[in-house]
Amino acid sequence: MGKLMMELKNVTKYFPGVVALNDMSFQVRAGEVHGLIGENGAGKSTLIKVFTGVNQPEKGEIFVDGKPVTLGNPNIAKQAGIGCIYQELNIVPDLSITDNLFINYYKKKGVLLDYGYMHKKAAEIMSQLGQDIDPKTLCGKLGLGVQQMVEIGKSILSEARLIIMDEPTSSLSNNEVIQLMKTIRILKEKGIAIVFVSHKLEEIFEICDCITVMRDGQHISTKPVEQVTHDSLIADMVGRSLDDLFPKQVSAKREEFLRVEHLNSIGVLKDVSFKAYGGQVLGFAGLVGAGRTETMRAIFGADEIDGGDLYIKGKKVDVKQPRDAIHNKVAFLTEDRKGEGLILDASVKNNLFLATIDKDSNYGFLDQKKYEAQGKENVATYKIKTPTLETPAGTLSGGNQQKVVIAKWVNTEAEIYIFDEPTRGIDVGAKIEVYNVMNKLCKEGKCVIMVSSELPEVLGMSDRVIVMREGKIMGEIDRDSEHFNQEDIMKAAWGGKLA
Amino acid sequence: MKEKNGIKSIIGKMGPLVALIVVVIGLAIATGGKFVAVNNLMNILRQTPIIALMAVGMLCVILLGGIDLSAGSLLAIAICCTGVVMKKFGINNSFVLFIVCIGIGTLAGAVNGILLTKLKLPHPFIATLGMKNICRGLALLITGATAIAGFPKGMTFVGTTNIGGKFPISFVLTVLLFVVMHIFLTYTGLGRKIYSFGGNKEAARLAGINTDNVQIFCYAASGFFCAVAGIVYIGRLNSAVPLASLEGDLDAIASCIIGGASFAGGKGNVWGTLVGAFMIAVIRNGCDLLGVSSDLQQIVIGAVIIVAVYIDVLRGQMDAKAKRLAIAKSLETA
Repeated sequence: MGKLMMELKNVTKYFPGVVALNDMSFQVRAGEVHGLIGENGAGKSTLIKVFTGVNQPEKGEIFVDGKPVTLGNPNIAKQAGIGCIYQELNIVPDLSITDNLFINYYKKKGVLLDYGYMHKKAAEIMSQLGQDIDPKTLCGKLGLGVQQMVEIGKSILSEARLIIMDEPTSSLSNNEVIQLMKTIRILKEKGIAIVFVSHKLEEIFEICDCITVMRDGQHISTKPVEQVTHDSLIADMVGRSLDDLFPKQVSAKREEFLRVEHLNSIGVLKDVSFKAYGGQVLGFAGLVGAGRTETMRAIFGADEIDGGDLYIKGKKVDVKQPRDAIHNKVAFLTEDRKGEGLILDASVKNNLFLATIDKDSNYGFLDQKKYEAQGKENVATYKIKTPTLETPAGTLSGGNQQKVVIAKWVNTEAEIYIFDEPTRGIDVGAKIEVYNVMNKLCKEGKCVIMVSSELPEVLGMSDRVIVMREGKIMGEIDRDSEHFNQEDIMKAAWGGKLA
Repeated sequence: MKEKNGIKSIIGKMGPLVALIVVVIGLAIATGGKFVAVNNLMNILRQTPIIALMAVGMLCVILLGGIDLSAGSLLAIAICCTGVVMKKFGINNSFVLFIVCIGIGTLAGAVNGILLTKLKLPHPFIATLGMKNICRGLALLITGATAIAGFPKGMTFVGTTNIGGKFPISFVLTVLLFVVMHIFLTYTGLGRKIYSFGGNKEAARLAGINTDNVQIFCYAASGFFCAVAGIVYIGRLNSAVPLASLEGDLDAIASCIIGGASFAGGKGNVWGTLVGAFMIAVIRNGCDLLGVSSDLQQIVIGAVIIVAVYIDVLRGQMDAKAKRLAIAKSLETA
């Protein structure tokens, strides 16, 4: 076992409305790959930010090589040998690999940049990481996997001894993941400690030496990988049994609510046709980039398309812009909650009624009384945890933000609800509440369409599943079909035929 | 606890006003009281409306996260068209001239919005920069680059009349329009849509808001207020000058920013903007009294803009910190 490289002792960190880290302790040893897992909102990101000097804890101590330190800003953390690969890569696509690696650390010869040295060093670093590639290549031309290697290269260049990887595989293809695992092993041999944050337990089992589970900002367990199982980790993370995760209630199927015919969008969607019924959840499964979100955006009029017809309750409708869709009682919960769903600086109240401004106006004036009353009702119905209706929506937790967006759409009295990745980035408790809203909508005879990249969720909540691949529909599977399982859906998503 | 926060937030909102009061007191002392003499104060009330009216139109645009560089030129084209209609067509009916002025201003403003939304020009900077030049050029062209004088009484009424011989009616009009704009921005659906668009364009569009119309409206509103300011201008100078308000757009932008409006959009209010307009008028007036040259005035106003926004930044940071500490405390006692 390597020597103790970094230690957090009883660290507590507050944010408005939450204790992000509560008496958290964490140790990393040289040359170990340390898995860090927990639900969304468990405090992993905050822990990372404490490590990298982005956030300063209110209480607790941090030790590097046994010496107490104050990581007051990211530069101090960098000097202490801590590097981090964030989920969102900080790569400048129009610059070469060398320029990206040496960003901020330009090596100069006199007043000029010493590109001879920098190119050589860049090539050397990249080849250490298993990438024999011309360092003059523009980063924008590289795949995400290689871009990530450039990020790792930055840490190597700054002689990091601890590299934190936050969900490094989330946007990588399978081959790229394999390459990353190789690279991690190379780093490990060099005695560099890795903190590997991931939602994918398979990867954790494959690469990590020991695993720490967090929940509610607290340390739950740290165990060597040999001593844990899939189930024990989930039990630690969730603190509740798996059966409760998907509280699906099957409702009576009603008439056809939505019929999509021959939806085409050059290079994106190819002849997409399907039907959705009232009282049912229609799940959309597929790999990232399969065209599911694009299909939904087309139906909602958010993107222009090149052809296709839409029928709502049997009647052909013309949807050119989102407000046409809303007029036809379609609601669209986007996958990017912060970027497209909410106005973060605006109050909860204003967000709740964002889609119904015209309906809630009397001669152009907003009906404040209705806002207050219905806003309070929304908060109670959807269990939105917010100090007041005037609180800016951006200060709520992810789950509560999502509930605000859902309530906003229910307030439009829509009949067809498109939920695109409705539980992304929210904690388990809030997930269950979202599922319950879906149950309730179905019970009321509404039609729910859910796009999800999490297969257990698709299987857990859908009455019917459509699988897409490369802009085409690959197949349709009913809940009572023999194909209604993870393997068959995955097969279809990868281009296989359903028997 | 809640009440305390309320007071704090009010003080926070009053920041620009406090700064204005400090500046006024400072100038009063520096000028040995000349600055706060009734006559001078009335002068300030006479000098503020043009800036303030342009600024409240500009505020609509800035709330969108946009900018209107053409405001000064819009004022010029509106008053010059009015002058030309009067001179060339011999129309002396004040009501008609009034409608021409407001109509031209609003229309030219709407063109900004249409260029932005229908031609999909990438940034309001471009559409309004183009219109700035076009309108100024047109104003010079149609007037032959000379001032047009001889407006009927009805047109100069707003700019010249004083209540009780002292209190300028243009200022009364300004306050009235500010109240209307406050009610409009705060209590109407369209006002809400403007803030929503400025806060998050995509969320607003996906919520079914007709974002094109909202934008066109705001740019037209900016043009409308430039024209109203133009009417005050006609009264004060008793003529339409094609080179009027050369830097009016920048003063208007500065007023909004000093008044706490965010360049990113979605944040700001009319009262801050009014205070911002006063700040500029007060500094100009005070500097004149002190015999400070116009180049120095410009330096002072530039510094005020930077300081005002910096204070705003500091206040934001302090608020965030206080919030964190309060929460930490409440969690500890719990």
